[in-house]
Amino acid sequence: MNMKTQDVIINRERLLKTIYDLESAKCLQDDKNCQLLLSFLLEGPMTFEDIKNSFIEVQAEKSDKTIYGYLNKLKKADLVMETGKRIITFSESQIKTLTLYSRTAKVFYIAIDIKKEIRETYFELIGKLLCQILDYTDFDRDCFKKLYDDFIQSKRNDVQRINEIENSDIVELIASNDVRGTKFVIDTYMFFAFIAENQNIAQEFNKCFKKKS
Amino acid sequence: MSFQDIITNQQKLVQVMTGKMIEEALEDDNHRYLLHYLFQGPLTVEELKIAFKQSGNEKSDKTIYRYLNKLKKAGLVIEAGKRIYTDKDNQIKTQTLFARIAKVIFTPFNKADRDPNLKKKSLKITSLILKEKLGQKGNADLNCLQNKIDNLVYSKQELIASYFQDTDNSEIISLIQTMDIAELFPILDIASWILLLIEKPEIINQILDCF
Repeated sequence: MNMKTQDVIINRERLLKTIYDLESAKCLQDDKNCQLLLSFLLEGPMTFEDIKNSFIEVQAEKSDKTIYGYLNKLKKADLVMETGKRIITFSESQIKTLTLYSRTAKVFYIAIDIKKEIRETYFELIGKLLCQILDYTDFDRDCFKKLYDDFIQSKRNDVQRINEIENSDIVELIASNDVRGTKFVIDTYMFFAFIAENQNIAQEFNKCFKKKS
Repeated sequence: MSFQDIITNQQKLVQVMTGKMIEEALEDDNHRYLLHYLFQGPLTVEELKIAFKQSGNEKSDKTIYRYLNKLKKAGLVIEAGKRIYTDKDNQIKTQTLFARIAKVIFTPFNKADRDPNLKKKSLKITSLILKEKLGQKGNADLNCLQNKIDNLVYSKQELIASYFQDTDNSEIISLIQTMDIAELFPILDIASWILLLIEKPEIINQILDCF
């Protein structure tokens, strides 16, 4: 009897996941081995053996213990998950199962939440900078805050909309970039999406900032 | 708890099984109960445990594994696939699914079927009926008669088993899948007699050789 293999997926990877915590962000941005392992999983779910062979293929062979270390780190950061099982049927009296790992999402977008107190300070600074460079005397903090909060909310909505894209080609393209590239693409998209959907933004802005007469 | 059953080894519909290992395996009542529980479809060890418990015949995991290993070795039970489920901590787990080698298993030479005294008595009656009906002068050699009858039963069962091996008639297959063993046996028996009469009529005449 020939060996038969069947992959059974229980937990599907999402299209996009927003990363809010620092540890996961560090893993994505700075840890080369985490990035390498995540890139292997871009093609689809893999068993431990598949991952081990992938490291060998890129001339970066690692021990079993090391790879399990990476997997645990990535699982803790919620970047990798156990997605299902590979069932290998050797015969009528021997069936083996192997765990399949996958990314938790095809695309990871880093959006670290800034602490409230620090945000207030930045906000004050941004207002002052705008006044200085664009020649305004002062700005209405409540008015500008509302504008700013609308911008943040629309950013969150825009990120969610990426999750709903059905065109898998675009998702693949976004996912194929490194995490910094992905962040640049998504941030820039969100910026222009905000402008496109708030055509009277200049008017709103002028309500908050007093021009020098 | 949600689960998925993945079947990678399909059980056959009808299989004839003979041999010392089969006979020995079937001598144990518990092995026969286990095979009976599997009639409805593939089960995990946990489900078999529940089945034994429900019949007032509780067995430990270790004991059930022992039965399964013996039956696997005899070829009466196969690993049919895996049940995949997520536990309360959202971990993905698997359990092996065991199944009978075939829905209907014929064991024509199985000594466990035989009560020796009853067998002797029915053989005697058969020989007397045949002697009268066939107009034979002498008595039948009972050993010879037993052998011919055994072969006849074996041939019948082989014919029906090989019919099911070759057929891809989905209507018949799906009907058989839904039937209970008590309903199936008589039907298959009739069908196998008819097949025997069509394909090997000479086997019946060979009984005359015993007189």
